[in-house]
Amino acid sequence: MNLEGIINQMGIEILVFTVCLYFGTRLIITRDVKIIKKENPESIRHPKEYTLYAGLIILFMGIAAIVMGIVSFFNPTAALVVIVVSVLIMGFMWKYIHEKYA
Amino acid sequence: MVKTKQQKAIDFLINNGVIIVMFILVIYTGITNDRFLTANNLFNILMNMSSRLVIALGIAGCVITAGCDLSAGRMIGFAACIAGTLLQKIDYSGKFFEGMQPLNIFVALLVVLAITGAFGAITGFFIAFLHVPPFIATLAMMEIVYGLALIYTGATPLGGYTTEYTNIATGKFLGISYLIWIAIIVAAITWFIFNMTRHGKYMYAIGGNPQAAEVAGVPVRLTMVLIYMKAAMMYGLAGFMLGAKAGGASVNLGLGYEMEAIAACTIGGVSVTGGRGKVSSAIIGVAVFELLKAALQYLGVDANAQYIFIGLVIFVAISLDIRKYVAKK
Repeated sequence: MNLEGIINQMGIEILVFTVCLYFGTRLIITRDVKIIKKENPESIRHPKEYTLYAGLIILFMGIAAIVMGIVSFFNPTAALVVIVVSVLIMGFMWKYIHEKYA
Repeated sequence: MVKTKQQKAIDFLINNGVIIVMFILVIYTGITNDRFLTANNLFNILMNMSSRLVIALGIAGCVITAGCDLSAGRMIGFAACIAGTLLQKIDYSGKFFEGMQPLNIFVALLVVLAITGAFGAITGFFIAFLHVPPFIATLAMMEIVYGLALIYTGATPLGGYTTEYTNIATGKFLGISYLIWIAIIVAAITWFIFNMTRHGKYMYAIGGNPQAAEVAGVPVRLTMVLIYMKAAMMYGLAGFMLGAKAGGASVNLGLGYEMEAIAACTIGGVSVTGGRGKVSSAIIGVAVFELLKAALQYLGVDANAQYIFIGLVIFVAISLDIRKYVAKK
């Protein structure tokens, strides 16, 4: 498969990765809690830590999307399992950082 | 501070600028093109509006709570594929489930609504109980639903639907297409939910200030799950309608519809900052959006250039909405 074919098949995954990369790095660099919590950003008790870990989780989600795209070339069911497991991990990590820093 | 009449007029023009410009465009197109303002064309626009309105009404609920739903487009494609596989003619050569009798359309619709509703509830659970921002949770759900749809259909386009199913798009009652009737009924039910039920009041309270709502005793988490579940069921219905209209479906059906729906809501007056928005806002937004698309087509604007116009409209509409929010603050 050539590059165009790969991009065609992985279009959505690349898009998700790009969006996650943008928001994740923005959160990590700027540490601005308003990026993800526009309403009542002051409700976050430890904004620096919260934004750092939130950014890392978003980056994790983006990487999971790319991994899903790559795995889908070999086994679509395995790709689905990858994304479902990643989303579950993301959800519980988010709950953890929310309880710890928010 | 009391505003003068002139200030009020300027505010009105700025706040409704997009709608005013679009109506001028529609009137101009009607004057310059004889075929635009005809009953036939208006019914076509209404037909196109019907499924878009159902999607916009679903998304409006999420936007009112200051959320969004990026999984709508993929959910629509998945719903259309499920409906398609259950409603193919028994003698169709490319039948998905060989030898299976097509289901009753109402049973198929219930199956579609149950499946999409379950996915919506999962999204709502992630947002409400695990505190994942709606943007990320729905982005993740978009990926999951897309993957599921690909595995379920094997990326094969579907066709050969029963006439009972395609009749939803071709059939009429009192001279009006069933699709339009469905959209009217959904709009009426949504109006009732938004304005006459406790759930509706909770929704606006959460959009205004979730912390205050929680303190006031609003079951924020349950309401959020219900909002996303209800929205997903509406995408399911829209997918069902679009499948009937197209007479076929693929996983790519509905691609990008979520952005158009969010834009339509914003144009109509549903605030992306939460707490504000009505059913009429979604109707106005969808009508304006569809009229714009039709007008551009009739004006002979290049199909690719139409995306630029639509993008500009979204950009201006959301900027004006943010302006209103900043002014209010």
